[in-house]
Amino acid sequence: MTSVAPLMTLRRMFAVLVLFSTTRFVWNGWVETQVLEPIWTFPFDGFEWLPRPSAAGAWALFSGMIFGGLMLLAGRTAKIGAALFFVCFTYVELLDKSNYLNHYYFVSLVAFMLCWLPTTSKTPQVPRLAVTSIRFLLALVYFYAGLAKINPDWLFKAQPLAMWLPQHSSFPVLGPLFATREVAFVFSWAGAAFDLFAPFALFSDRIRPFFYPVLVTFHVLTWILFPIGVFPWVMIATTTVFFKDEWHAKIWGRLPWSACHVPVVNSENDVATWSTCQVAFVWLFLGIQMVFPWRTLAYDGSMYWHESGYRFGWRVMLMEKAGWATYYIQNERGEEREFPVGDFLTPNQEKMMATQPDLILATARHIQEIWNDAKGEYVRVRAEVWATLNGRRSQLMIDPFVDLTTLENDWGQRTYVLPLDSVIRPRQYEALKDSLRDARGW
Amino acid sequence: MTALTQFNDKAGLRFWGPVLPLLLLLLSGCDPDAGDDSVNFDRGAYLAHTADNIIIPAYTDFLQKSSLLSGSLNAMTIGTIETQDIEAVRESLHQAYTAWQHVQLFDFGPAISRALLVTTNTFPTDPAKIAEEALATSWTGGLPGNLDSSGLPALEWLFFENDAATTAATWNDQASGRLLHAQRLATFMTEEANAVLTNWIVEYRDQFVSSTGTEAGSSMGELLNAFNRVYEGNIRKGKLGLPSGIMTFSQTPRPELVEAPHVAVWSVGFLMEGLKACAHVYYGDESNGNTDDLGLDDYLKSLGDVAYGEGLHNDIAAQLNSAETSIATMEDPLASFVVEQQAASFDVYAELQALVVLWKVDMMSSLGVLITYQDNDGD
Repeated sequence: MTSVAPLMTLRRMFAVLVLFSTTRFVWNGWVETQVLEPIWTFPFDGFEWLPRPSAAGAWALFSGMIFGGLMLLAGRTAKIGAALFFVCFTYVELLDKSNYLNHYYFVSLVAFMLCWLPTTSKTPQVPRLAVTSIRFLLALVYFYAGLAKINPDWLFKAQPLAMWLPQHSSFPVLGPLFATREVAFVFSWAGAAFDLFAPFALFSDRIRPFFYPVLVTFHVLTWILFPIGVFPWVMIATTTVFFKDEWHAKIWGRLPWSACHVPVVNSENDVATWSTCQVAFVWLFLGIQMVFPWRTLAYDGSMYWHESGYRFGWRVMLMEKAGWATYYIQNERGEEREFPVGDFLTPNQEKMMATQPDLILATARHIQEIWNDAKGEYVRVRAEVWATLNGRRSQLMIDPFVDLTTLENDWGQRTYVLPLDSVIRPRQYEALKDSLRDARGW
Repeated sequence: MTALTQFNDKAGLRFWGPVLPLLLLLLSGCDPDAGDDSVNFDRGAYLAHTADNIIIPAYTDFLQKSSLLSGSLNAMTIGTIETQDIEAVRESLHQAYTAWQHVQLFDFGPAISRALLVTTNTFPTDPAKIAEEALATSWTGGLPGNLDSSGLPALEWLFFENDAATTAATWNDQASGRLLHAQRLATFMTEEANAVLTNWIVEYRDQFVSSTGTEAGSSMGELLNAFNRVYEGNIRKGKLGLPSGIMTFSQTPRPELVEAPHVAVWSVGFLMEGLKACAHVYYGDESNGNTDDLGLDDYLKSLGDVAYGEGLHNDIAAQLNSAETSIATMEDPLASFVVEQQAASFDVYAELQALVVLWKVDMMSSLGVLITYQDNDGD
């Protein structure tokens, strides 16, 4: 048994952040551009059945998030609030892979945990596992983010930081430094070390007081340098869950309202106990979190290139990837033409689609459908996709002469993705094109 | 962070203890000359150069040519128009149309708010509609419904529908409404160009030069997104791809889609001029980057090789060269060329396509200019 104090802080901070984040999302007009405007979206595997919300539906979902956040903040109805927020937020996230962000996934997971964690003054004492489980998830996020940085691009080429940092060369004082290669290496190695060390430092009572200021500096720096939204603040806020109970009691004790204070333990009734079944559930959840990111090992080739098993693995700030996809349709008479796919995607979707193989495949199916609906004609669809990864020059990413509509977006090996080390550049492709076409029987 | 100082008695020391050395470490290397081979690229200076020496002069030139054209048209009187008057305005139109090729890339800021690109050069134009609008007593420019019957393409049809002598005769007939309508079209075009240039000079220039970031909506973002969009859509696809038949099954050429189809002998020249305008923006000068003027090539060089693999600027220079050479092999009228030598047209198109990859994918990725405002954690 331990005090509920750290979880109270976590719940309140998390509620404030999701309220802020949701408001910001609506304020920036992203409900229109991300949820309502797209002609089609790219739902996550297994969630294709989720209906696209209408304007009223989106209004309900985002109101649900706000109400859920407020209930979570208020405390009495925290679990229902967390559930409401979780459902609405996750619904929106599941609609479109092109909007995937690691911190959205993190928010979903924490919201899910808050559906069953005791976090209010009703239960001054909670099972130790309740506090440990959320600490464990946070430690896992840092550690896996650190492990992901142990790759040749990050360590030996300082990529993508070597491309991102020079953009800040006009910064006052520090600017000129960002343009240097040395600083990109220092940031890369320091970043990897920070992530790998964070779990141990946060769990250790002796190191934590020294480490937390470093953590704040680190996250504020990433917030200044990169367009990563509220993620730094989420991490700065949630890592306070590692602090000692007394710290939390002291912080809330400074507020004039006694309702906000951390409750004192006074009777047996205040204890929230967990059954074996509940404990097993928590460990199962954490176990899945530990194992799931490793699924990418089952695939051959560069994970950064084929992106099989890339998402949901805490691979944050790891790639600078850009691409350009040109689609071609071929009718039953064997005649071919270009398809103006840009007319059917939002700028963000077009950008994301051109680098993510599963989205490229999904787009091909949409094109086939659009053509069939408009002209009543069956077409095969192929794509020439050029992509660049971490400062490499652009190269052909997808087999240019395969009918993408015949392929399934399953969890198998993506054989239509050309290997990263088989570099075909635009001019070489022009020379190779006819023989490739013949070889594929296109 | 003030909450942190509640940590314990030695809170101040404990907080700043680890932070100060870290900051000092960062500051210690802060000698502006400390950089190795990577030169610090001054985006503010680049933007100022691009605005003052490329964009504003391009608009000024176009406005001047357009004013000359509308001035000549407005000076004509029905009943006195001679063949040589028609020939003179045809030459003025050619000059204005050529100047336009250097303006089209700047489709952002003031140009977007006045929809300059679509009111000035939407083609193919609709002759039947122009003929009908010529008979109307009044005409309002810039409406969504008359984009395909206004601007340079509409004037081109009015000037070149028939030979110069016949055109002079038609224009001398008041009932045809042709002279009046040509005056209205040219005057509107000049007014719009004037409005955009004025906006650049009195207001937008300073805003453009002072926004030195790379976020979406920054000047770099606006300039480069417009550059890529116009090059990819209006120049590569519009001037060559569509007429060659890339968007038709069985790749039937569509000669009627060329730019300036009625005069026939300007199309290849305009395509070349469009590519040269891109090279001008890319190099920052008109001599392939051989001056000290700041251009995107200098920006790429400043990043050092490590930032984008080897010699992206070399590849772009080579590709620009080879694209120019291949356009030079084409002959006007382009409308006949795409039919008679379609394979050769596709070869040129492939050259232009390779430039899209280098500019839109490699260059944009290297420069890290964002295209949307959304959060991004780099995946």
